[in-house]
Amino acid sequence: MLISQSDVPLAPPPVSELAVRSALREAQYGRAIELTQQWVVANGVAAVPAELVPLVLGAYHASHRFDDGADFVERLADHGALTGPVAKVGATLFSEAGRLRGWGALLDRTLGDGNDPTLLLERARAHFSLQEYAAAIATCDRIPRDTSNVGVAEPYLRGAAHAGLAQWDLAEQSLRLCLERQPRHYRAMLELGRVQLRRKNIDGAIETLRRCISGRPRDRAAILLNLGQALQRAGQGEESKFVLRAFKSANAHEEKRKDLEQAVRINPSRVDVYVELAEFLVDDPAERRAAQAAIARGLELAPNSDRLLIAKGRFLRPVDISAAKDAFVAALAANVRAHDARLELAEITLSANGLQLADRFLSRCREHVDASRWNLAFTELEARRGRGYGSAVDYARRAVDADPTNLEAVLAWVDLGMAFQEVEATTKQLAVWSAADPTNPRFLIAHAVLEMERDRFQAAADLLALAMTVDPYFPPTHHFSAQLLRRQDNKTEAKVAEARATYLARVLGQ
Amino acid sequence: MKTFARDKVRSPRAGGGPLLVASFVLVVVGVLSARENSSELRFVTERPVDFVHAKGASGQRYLVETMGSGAALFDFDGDGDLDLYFVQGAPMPGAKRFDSRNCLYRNDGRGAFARLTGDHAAPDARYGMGCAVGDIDNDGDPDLFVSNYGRNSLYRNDGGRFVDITREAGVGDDAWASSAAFADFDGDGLLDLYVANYLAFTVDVHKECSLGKGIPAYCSPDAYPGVGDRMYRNLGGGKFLDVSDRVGLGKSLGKSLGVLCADFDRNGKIDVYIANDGVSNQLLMNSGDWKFEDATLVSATGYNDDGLAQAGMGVAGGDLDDDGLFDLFVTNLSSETNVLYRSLGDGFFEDATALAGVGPPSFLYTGFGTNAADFDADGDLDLFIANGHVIDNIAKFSDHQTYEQVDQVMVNIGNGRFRDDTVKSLGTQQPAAGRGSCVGDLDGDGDLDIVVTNCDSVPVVYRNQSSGVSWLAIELHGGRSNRDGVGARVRVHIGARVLERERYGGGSYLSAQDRPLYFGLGSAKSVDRVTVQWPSGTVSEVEVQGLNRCVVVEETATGAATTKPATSRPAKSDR
Repeated sequence: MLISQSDVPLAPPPVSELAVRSALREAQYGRAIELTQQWVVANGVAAVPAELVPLVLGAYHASHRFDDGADFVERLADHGALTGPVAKVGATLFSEAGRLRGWGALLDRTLGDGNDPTLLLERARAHFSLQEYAAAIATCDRIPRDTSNVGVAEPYLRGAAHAGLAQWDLAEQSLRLCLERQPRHYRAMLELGRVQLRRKNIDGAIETLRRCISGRPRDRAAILLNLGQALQRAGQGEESKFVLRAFKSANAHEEKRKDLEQAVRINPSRVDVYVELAEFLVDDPAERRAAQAAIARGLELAPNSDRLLIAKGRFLRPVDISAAKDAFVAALAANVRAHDARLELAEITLSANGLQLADRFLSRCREHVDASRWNLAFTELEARRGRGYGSAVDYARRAVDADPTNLEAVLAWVDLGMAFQEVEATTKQLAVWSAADPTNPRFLIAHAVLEMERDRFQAAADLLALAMTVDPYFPPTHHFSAQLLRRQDNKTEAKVAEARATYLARVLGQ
Repeated sequence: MKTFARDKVRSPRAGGGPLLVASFVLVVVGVLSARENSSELRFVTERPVDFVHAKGASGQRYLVETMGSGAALFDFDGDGDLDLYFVQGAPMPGAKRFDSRNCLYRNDGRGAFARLTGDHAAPDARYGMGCAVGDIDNDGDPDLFVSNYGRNSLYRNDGGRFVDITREAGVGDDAWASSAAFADFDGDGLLDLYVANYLAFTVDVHKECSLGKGIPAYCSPDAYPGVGDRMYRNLGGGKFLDVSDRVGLGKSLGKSLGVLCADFDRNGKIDVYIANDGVSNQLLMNSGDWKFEDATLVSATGYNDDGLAQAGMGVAGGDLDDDGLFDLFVTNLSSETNVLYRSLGDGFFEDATALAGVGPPSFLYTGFGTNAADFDADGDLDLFIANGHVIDNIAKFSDHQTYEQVDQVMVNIGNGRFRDDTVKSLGTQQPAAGRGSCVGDLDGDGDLDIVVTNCDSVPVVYRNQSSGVSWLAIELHGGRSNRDGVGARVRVHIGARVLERERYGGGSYLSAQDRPLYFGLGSAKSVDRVTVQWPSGTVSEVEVQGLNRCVVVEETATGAATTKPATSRPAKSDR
């Protein structure tokens, strides 16, 4: 009787593979590496399943054991197992280990006269990393034309290499090809903007770089510096100043991240550096992967670090409230003085209408957390408890007083005024705050929102116009203008205003 | 014995304003046709002095040990040839003791150097970093400022004998100073002083650092905070006033290493460019009355194209693309590349590193001293870079970097582009930890030689062996302006071409040169005219008879037009 392939019972995977996979799943990178090493000693490097190898290499990377990881890649290469996916992680490991030359040599050995597209692309990248631009281009030339999996990476690399050689025409051609294939390739967009700037196509550069910053906040410093310079050269001095100011803060942010990453690289077993890195990255939507790695590695070293557990909770909060809650609870279990965890738990419980519990959390952390945020949470608690306008409004006022730049608090003030029909008192106080801080557009915006809610569109428009004269580059002003325009059925203008709001928010890194 | 051909020319025609006086018209026998007539650039390496730099290492890897030291190339005794001054390190705590005095060598005019000793040879024995040269009292001899890790020193030159006037002058700050520059910031005819300060490092706050793998290494500058630079106003009579706070330098903690003072926006006031290590470089635009505006961001000279601050070390300047504007070249750490900031005019720059082709050749090197000079005498400025990594065991952390490195020559091939000419022109080199560099015609043969200091090693001289091209050197003697003519702009007109050089203050790394402005003239047989725009505003036009000589142009004290027949001595190469 013939038996089909699917009838054959699958052999259970070796225990060691299960163990490695389990360790990787739990983000126990050190353990995963240790188990893999034991496995290799027992069965040889070829025994490690191909699909598992990149994951193990990822563990080397996450635990900053770059040299060991690079050694492992070399052993894999010796056994003919330097495949495309391995090469991708291998490139990072060798680069971080300071072994760029070694990586190039390894790829050359493996490639021979072959034309594996992924390996050729990695070889071209290795040349590029050493600024061997002509060699990078020559290697790109060896990649078979019909290869789809390097379809975007190859023209990008080629374009960047041509730009490095100041071959602007060829650079622009390749970068445009890359963008044709993947319109949201923001690195290519940045490179194209730079090329346009060098070619004195200033308007083109501005358009490209604006599109680039609106699309993605990564590489902000580079985008903003080039955009600021392009605006300057186009005579748009005011916006240039705004963009260059934003660049300075983006640069400070990137420098700090660089310093922290360097600190981790130098001493990968220092928990405090992981804590600082995790806290630094966790609220940045563009840095989620890096934040996750830092939290995981830190918790592997110090599973009871309350600060890392809070960071973990903050990381999980946008995607998995329940898991986030567990992390905050664990932080409190690890340290009863982890007050930030209490505030987070209070906010989570409030949103689920757990008023009593929220009250308990809030009353225990009052003196130890950000005053504006605490008062804002308490405003919500009071409002949900139906304690009346007087009580809630008192906390809302304190939230604004504690931080007049907290737009959420200012808008909460307006919400309360509307909910309790205290429009006159609300507008009066907004005017007082506005007069006390005429450079702060938030009170004008809040007033405009109030007027919008009352269908007094012209008054709202006047207030938003005033807010724009106070600070033409404050994104919420444009966002609420878009809302107003939508309410007035002016969809085209609304779209423009919303795009402007997004652009400005991206410039500011919001 | 004097080896330079020196013609002294008082400004034959001078105007009090920007109006140019009608030029003398000379018959142009040969027109500069630069690159096709340039001679092959070739240097021979020499070690003409017995000086050996010592970093005073104790094994603790104090950062100061790996940063120095510099040198000066100047005619301290006024005999017409360039003498040498080397700044020496000192034993750090725990290190073996050695003679830490700086060394002055007199040039005998034939390329041999004899060491001078005694108190009059400026023998500052502190941990020396760099030096600056300038005639602070307008008496015709160059004075000397020495920057130290520890108190700085100022030596007044009294006819070839140096006298320490630090205390009276009020410039003996004891922050860790690096490069320094003399320039007349307020246009009063006296050279003021800018002192770049590096880090708030002392042995007490020393940190143990590593680049990983548990191996100790010299710290990066991130390990310590910066220190505000100092700016001193020359009050005359050998006295200076610290105006740093007034200028706002105290708030700006830049980790400064290189400094160059020139008029970047051509408003007649000397601005300051500072190469900072690991933080943004700075361009301070002088708006007069000791007010300086930080124009770094707007000018685009603070960061590289990726929006990152780099490890700025040294800085060179000049018109590198022959468009009449003053460009900047900054040396950086390996893996960063050096950067060429091309001036777009009005104080704006763009990163032209890729266009110039100076990025990739510098990727593996850490540049320190750097000079823009016309080494092949073809009329445009070439670049020299002294290389050497900061971290003595860098090879343990990287398979493509070394501590001891070769120096580089980048030849200007026109249109703002450069070609790495190192192998051809410098030949086989002994790699070293290059630091300071200065340029001048050491042997009076009409081409530019290079002096390079190496950390914990012997300095080298690259003696230029190029020949067969014309040149003209112009030494400026200010009258109303400062006597060194710092801030003056000299134009040499040859047919339709105008070569322009600005006498700027500072430049390179920890090093100084008191040199005439050098113009390579290719195959030109004569020049039409030379104009000098003095810092005082006076514009002089002088007639120059013959080439291959050093011409002294004098600005009279009143700025009036006087002519004095030139006394001409032939150049050594003509004899």
